[in-house]
Amino acid sequence: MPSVPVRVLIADDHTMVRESLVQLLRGGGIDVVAQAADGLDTLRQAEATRPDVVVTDLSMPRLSGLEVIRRLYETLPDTRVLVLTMHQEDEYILQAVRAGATGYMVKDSPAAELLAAVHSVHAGKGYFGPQAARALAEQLRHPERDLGDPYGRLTAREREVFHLIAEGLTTKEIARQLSISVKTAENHRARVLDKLGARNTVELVRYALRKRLLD
Amino acid sequence: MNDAAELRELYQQLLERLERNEREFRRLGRAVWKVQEDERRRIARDLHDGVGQNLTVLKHRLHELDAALPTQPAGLRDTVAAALALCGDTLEDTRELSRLLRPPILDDLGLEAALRWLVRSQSQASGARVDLQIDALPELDGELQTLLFRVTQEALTNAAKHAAASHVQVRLQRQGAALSLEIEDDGRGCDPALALGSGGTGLGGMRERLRLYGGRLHMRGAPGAGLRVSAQVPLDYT
Repeated sequence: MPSVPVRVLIADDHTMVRESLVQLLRGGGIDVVAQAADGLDTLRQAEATRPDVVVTDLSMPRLSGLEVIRRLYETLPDTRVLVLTMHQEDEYILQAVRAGATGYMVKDSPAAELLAAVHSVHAGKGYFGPQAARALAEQLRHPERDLGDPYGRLTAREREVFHLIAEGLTTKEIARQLSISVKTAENHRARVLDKLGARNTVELVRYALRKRLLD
Repeated sequence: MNDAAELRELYQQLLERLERNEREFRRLGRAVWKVQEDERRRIARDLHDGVGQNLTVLKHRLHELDAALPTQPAGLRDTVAAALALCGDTLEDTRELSRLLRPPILDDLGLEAALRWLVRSQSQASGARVDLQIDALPELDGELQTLLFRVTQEALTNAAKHAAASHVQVRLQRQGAALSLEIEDDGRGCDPALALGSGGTGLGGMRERLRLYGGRLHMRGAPGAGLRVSAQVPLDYT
């Protein structure tokens, strides 16, 4: 029985890299169903095509790769995310995994490794290159070393509240939108500010802008 | 108006003008430094995302070429293998150059992640144990993040290169309306007055930069007794 090819979306703002990846994956029998050159387009295309795997870069215009991973993890839980990046530092690896990536590898890895990674991630096994595996093991050994992305420490509900605050909603409006009491919304707001080390809404919005967390 | 009152008035005006000039001087100094950092950021990005990505594609192409080559003659395969190795080394050099100019992690993930990366990489390079303690920080603008990163970087370079320290402790915390950064090492130490008098480079240069943000740099130590560098910078520096 012929196996169904893995359906992949490729997200990378560097055209030459993207074309090279498309060629490489198609050559390996993988069905590239969509391509995107920025974060927002990645989300739109993923929503439209529901790929099995999203192969994404971390540095992208309009919405960072990390935020793309978080949103995909929440909106399309069946879609797996494989990060393909130039960044080798542990901090990027851990934040990508926390955001919901199930694979991480550097861009200059050999083609065979990329194909193996896509299949492995699709099969639900995950794939981490040697550097990523070492970073994850190190973090398990020293969980007290927090690699510093306060946004990543927010719960799903707190992130929801975070985005509503950043969009300019008042606590009352947030309570109404989320069907929770004003008191609960106020508690969420206080915890979000506390975790981000922000003193007020202005600081929170500045944080969101700097991290490219706003649409 | 009598002479004394007139003199007081003139003196007051003079003081105000001096303060205005001082503020303007600091604003200009910060602007110059910001232009320099922006330029470094741009070149570092171009290297990392431009040259680096092209080299990555080149490496893929060479891999394809290698896979398509017949096993004989061996000479051709050796040439491709050498080209692949050269490409890999150049890619690594490009990444390193980019990090030296301005590590992308500082702009992508912020000060805390950048400091953790800096401490780890300095520790690996020098063999010294470097501990980092960061308390919950308020939201910091890009200029303050850059300033604190550069001061830490300079102090760690100093501890590794000149002091040959085996243990360095870095602490960053908020103290009221200011941030406090301390870097303490057990190296061979130096005369703080001499180190700070070194002009526009090294720790002397860092002291000048801190002053532009209304901050201060103190050094405590003596030859043979380690060194403690501490910097305080107000959160509202304008």
